[in-house]
Amino acid sequence: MKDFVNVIKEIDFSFNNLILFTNLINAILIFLVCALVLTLFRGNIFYSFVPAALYFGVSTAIKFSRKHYLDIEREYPTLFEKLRTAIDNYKDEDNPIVDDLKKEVSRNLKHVAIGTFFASKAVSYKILSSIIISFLILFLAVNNIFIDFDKLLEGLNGNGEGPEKYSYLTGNETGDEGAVMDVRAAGGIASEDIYGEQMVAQLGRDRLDLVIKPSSYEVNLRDVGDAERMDFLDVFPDEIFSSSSESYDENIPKEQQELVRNYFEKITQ
Amino acid sequence: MKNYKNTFDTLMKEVGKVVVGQTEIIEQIMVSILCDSNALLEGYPGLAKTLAVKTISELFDLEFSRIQSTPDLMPSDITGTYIIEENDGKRKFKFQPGPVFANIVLVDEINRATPKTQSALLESMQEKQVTVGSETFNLEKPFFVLATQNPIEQEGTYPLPEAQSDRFLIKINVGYPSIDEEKEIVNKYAMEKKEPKVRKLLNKNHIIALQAFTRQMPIANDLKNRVVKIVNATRTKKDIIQYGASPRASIGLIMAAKAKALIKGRNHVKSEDIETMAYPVLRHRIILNFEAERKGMSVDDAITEILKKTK
Repeated sequence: MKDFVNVIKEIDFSFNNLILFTNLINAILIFLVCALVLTLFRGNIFYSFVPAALYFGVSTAIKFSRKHYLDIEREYPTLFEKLRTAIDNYKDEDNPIVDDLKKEVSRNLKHVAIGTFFASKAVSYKILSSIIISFLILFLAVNNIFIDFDKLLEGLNGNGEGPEKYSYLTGNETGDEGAVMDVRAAGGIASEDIYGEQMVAQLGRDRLDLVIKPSSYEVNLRDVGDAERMDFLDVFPDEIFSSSSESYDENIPKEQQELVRNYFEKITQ
Repeated sequence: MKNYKNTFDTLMKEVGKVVVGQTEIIEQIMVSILCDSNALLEGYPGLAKTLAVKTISELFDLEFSRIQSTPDLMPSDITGTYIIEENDGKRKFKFQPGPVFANIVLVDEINRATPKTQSALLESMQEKQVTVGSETFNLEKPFFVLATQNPIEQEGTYPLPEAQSDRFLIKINVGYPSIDEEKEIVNKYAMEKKEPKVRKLLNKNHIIALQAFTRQMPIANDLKNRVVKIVNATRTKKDIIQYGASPRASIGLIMAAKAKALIKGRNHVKSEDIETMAYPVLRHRIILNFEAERKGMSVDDAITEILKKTK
């Protein structure tokens, strides 16, 4: 009887391992598909764990509770109705017919290959799909490709106006204190995340579009060091003088004007 | 298990020396013997019903008795009665056992006996004992009642009550032999002078051991569930069945399937055993309603429909 009990345990163990492996592959595929969708819509990629974990838990529990011997009987007709009879009656000791049945079933089970129940083709396709989806996610993230959900909704609603007035609260969480800023005045859309968003800055009456690309931002730490010690002159420059009889007149040197102009030109590039 | 198959194949061959064809009938009688139960044979006259039962009793070296039922048959004619015996001038009552005190009792045309006489067989069939007056006598094991019934000549007959027909494990429909079989019958019994004889192959102890072996035959749980579903369906299928089978039918069907598996030399019960034995086990326990009879449906058709539904 011990031998047959070991046989049953081995069957369950082998099938459970197969179920775990297959479900893991499926869960990874679900995770990647959800991650792809979330990447497209700029969602938090960690939310993909939820459906994957749910599927893994529920599917594993359901498949573990199934009678594995029915799958064996389906693939091996010589064991049809024999295996289930032996499993249902293996505790019946001192029964010569049951002993004979157990011996016969154990003999036939030696010809059963666990690879028969492994859908290698399907698993290969799933692994390939997982690799392709992973590369797709990387490509989308590196090139910052996404679907702007708000603009999509506006497009669907047929609303051609500019961004609506939004307000956000600064200060404490209750919002009792703090300044309420009209972001419209700033000419931009309020957002917590400035990276990758189109920011509208206004200098004077000029409208400037700024795009900050964090992936192309390079910081060479070697260039960054301690601040240089500057020696300032005690002598004031000639252009700074006081005159009581003359009205204040803007007298910015030409070199300084050019410096300011170059500065702004550079930051707009 | 192969040895058992060989044993039963030899038995069938030996019976075949006397009874031509009717292998299904012989097999079903063997099933009822292995299940330690009783069988009802229904068929037209001259189909070797009595010959088959008598041959089997010779094969198993069992005591055989035959009761010919008539309307004037009394219960005491079956069970036995007390008679006054005089010995050395002293008189005393002595019990004279009736024909029921045998291993195989063949009751011919049981539906011709009165209900009172039929019910005298009830206790012996179910309890394997006979009560006469205040005394109870145990019947020797193994004990079987094999009753025959004629489907024609129903005038002046007493159909078996439900309580008694339920005590028969199986109802065997005996049909006509094929042309080739009939030619062989004619050659055997109309031409040959020598009457064929059978050898004794098994004895009472062998039969009792085989009966115990039959009970030990393993059956899967889902097959047991299917049997219960089948019998339950006979009670719930009200569109064609008026009265369904009792839980005794569930026990009977499982036992009959086990016996069938043993005769085939298998070490487990298959679903085909259940489907084959469903017909003889259920056909005398189901009463069709008027609608089914109007459509010309037979009991076997109703059982076929139930088997399809519970597959």
